[in-house]
Amino acid sequence: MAVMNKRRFFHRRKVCRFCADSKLKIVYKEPGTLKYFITERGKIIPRRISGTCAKHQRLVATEIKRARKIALLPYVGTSEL
Amino acid sequence: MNRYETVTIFDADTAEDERKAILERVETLIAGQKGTLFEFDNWGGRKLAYPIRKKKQGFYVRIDYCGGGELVSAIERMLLHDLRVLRFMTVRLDIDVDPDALKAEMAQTEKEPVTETAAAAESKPAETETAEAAPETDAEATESEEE
Repeated sequence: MAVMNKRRFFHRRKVCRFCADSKLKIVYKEPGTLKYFITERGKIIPRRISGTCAKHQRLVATEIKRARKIALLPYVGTSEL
Repeated sequence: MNRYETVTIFDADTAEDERKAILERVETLIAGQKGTLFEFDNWGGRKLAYPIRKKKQGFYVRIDYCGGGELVSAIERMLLHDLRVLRFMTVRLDIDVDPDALKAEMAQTEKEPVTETAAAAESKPAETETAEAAPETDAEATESEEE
């Protein structure tokens, strides 16, 4: 029974979105794409959860930071939660 | 020579000709340092993600140019001392490029606007795809938390 309980959570293998679709570009000028990689509070979502590969996560992180600098993305989340 | 782009946020209250005057000064700076200006890309007025100097609106202009490091610091110095500029950011796009070859290439892509729109149409469904995938990751996140 215990084994059954553990099996209840099966893990779908997460695929890096940018590896799957090479047309998707990671640029700070497109806050729409980057929005999926930040929480409502504005934090960068870790690789462990988003499933992005190491190479693309690095790019995502720098581009998010660039977008933050020119006020396309927030540093801290909005209060409209 | 390197290729740079500088995204500049102007105060939304600045008049259009004032903005043009600043951009003209940038143009003369680029010409003076033997750089090449590709374009002023107007993104228009936008809501800022957070207030800068108590302003909630900004006018974005992207300056695309080629030049050396001194040119970048000259432009940044000028923008920094202008109170109508809220913020700017320079990103190096490419190192050691030939500005004339790039210009010719740009002219060619402009000549074939059909292919460009096709590419834009292709990128749009890709964006919706990410929108669908996003809630999925959220669900997974809560799943792991339950564990």
